[in-house]
Amino acid sequence: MLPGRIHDPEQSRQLLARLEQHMGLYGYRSFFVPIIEDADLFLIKAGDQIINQLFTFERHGRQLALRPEFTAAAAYYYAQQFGEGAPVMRWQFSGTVFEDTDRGARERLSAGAELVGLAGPAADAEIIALAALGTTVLGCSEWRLTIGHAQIIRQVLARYEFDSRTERFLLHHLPLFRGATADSPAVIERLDSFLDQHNRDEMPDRLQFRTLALDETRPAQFVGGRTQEDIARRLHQKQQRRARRADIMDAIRVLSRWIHLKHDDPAGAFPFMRSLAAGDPRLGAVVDEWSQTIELLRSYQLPDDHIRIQPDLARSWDYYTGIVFELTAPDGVRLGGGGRYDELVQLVGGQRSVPAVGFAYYLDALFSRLPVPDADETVSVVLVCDSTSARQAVEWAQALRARGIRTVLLSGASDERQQHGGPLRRLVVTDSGAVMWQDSTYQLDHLPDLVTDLIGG
Amino acid sequence: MDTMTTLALPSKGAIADPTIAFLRDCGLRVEKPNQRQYTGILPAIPSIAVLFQRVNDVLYKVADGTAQLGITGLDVVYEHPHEDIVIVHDRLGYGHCSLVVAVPELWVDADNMLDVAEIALDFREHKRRNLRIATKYPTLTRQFFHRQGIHHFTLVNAEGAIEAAPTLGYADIIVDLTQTGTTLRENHLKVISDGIIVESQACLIANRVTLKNDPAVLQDLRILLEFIDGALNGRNYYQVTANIAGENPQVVAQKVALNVATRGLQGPTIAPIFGVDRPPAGDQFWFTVTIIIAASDLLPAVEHLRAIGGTQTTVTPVRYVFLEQSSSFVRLVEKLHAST
Repeated sequence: MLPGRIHDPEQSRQLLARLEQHMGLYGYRSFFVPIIEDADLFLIKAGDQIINQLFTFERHGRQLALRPEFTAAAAYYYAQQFGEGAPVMRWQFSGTVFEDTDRGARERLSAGAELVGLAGPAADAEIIALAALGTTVLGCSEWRLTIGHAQIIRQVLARYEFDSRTERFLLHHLPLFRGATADSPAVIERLDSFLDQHNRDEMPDRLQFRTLALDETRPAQFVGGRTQEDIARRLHQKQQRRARRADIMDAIRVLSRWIHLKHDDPAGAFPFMRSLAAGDPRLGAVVDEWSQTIELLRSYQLPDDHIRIQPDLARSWDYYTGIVFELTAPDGVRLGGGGRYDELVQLVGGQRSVPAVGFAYYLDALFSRLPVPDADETVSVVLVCDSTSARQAVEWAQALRARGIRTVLLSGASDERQQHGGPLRRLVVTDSGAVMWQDSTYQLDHLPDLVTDLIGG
Repeated sequence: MDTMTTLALPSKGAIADPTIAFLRDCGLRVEKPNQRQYTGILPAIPSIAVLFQRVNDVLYKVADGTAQLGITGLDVVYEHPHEDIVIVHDRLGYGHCSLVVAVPELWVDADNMLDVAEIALDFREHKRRNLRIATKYPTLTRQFFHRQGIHHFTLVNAEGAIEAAPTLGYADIIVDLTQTGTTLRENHLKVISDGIIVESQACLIANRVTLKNDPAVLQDLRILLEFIDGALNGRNYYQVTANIAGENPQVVAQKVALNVATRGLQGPTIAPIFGVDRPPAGDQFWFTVTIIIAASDLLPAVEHLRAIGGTQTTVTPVRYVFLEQSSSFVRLVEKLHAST
């Protein structure tokens, strides 16, 4: 059941049909995703913490789940079907997704698209435009687009070569850095608390460390999935961590400059970002690529004043690897979102990374903001008959349907409640095979006259 | 015919024999008329019938009401939470083990759960896969790892030799029960310092709905708890008897009470000794002092009795200590009322 003004399943179906047609024009073919999948597929994508939101059940020793979204299954299908090759696939999907909440299981409609096998600004711009223009096609022109890029922040941090835990600390606290300066007490306190956790580590035995790191007589064996090199590298990072406080403070200052960009001015943002990236070719390349994507959006005629830039927009740092975007209503309610996720195909079993970008609509929110459609003016006919005139009634019904008139057959005892929008004409089939409507009687060979009179009303 | 109260007991595994021994020590000897059947009796409480089940099945039987009471491990109860199960006694004092996170001992860079969290991220970012954890306790493992902020891992269901999983290659680390840690060490695994998920021991459980609705079952449980609490209390005490000379019982009592270790549950029992071959010097008489002392105070008590002239000090374990009422039963009743 959709909230808001549109409750009619028929109206929902028509809206989805318009979306399908819109995405079909861009070459996106319908993709049918199983409703039931291995629960692990969704947990790998989103992290095990969503286990309580997944509608799971056990069957023959396997833990299964009703799909909460489409992307993971699409990536899995791609990984299974295309092995070494990486063809470009454009898929669109729509259907029901499921989640388990405190108040019980919930199902809702979802729709979206995935572009798999294509990297670069052109692919990113295509997906963003597809999503934004889809809302316009449905009749919602008042949307706002916020675009971020996960690689901007990651490249800023890459120059410091922090260990993954420190990077995660910084990513997790970006909202804090937005609201405070690097030297503010709140930031200092959080940083010192983080470093203090690691100060409690005991240093590994030096001899043990040297033996492990430098022993060339041992083959590079795997122990619980890790090699000696993995272990030695991390030991080195642990030892270095305590000495990096000044570097972390510097990283926070640099990050603050990025996340305090003027958001509503895409044109003005990029020269400023290029100046911030000066001296870092990789970071500069990311800014350039991002700039190309925004430029291409103008070619799709997305209005500049509908677009804002936010470098640290990333709903999940574990998942997005490039462009990230959100579609919102003017009041801030999310209508949809997506981004690039180049690692997912390999994570779900693919032999290598495959570039992929996609989005999904929050249809409940989107449909509730669409204008109420005009009343259905299609004429519908109810043909009433009894057992003696049943055969003639069928002939009349088929003849009317061939003329495009929606016709429902009712026996004399049936319920005549209106089920369709628009005017409903009640016709009675007589024993002689004629049809009576209002005060007139029609024979089957005078069908055109009846149709004219029905439409004329 | 009155319906019996069914007590489910573990039929095999590490706590099976210790459960029978524990109940025997509580004065609740279990008889199994037919060794091939899964039923038994408690002669001390004729209205309780015994049903032997696997450790996990004890929980299921109590949850569905087939059995009204059961003894199993806390680890089993926490792994399979059920709203109709109430833990009546969580410290029966045997079956101790710990559910722990264990990693290969060659992971010299892994000391605590922060390290495990980083390694989980390393797996995802550099190896493009999740850290695999072999365990028979998916619920407890998930909750613990989530609390540690670790969300990217895959649980591998493993029955049997979980300790071998990292060596065999189908998991990277394990979460498993351990008692002494010997099996882990022999499989080249080490316990993460703050990776203890549950400290488990044997516990007594009951069906909450039955307890609220069936007074006969509640009464049987009360009797069971009297034996258990009485026996467990008894383990904490010794009965100490010593011969002490003094002018009169009051003087002897005052000397005994000078040390808090020898004040007893309420005070010493003092009785005159008759027909003594060697009477004490002066106008003193021999008295026997009997006190119940805390087990932890045994040596201080003996030292003090010696200091005040005590001789032939004998110590006997206490079989039961029955207080005004079973404290476990009182707590249970409060818990049942609180949940209505």
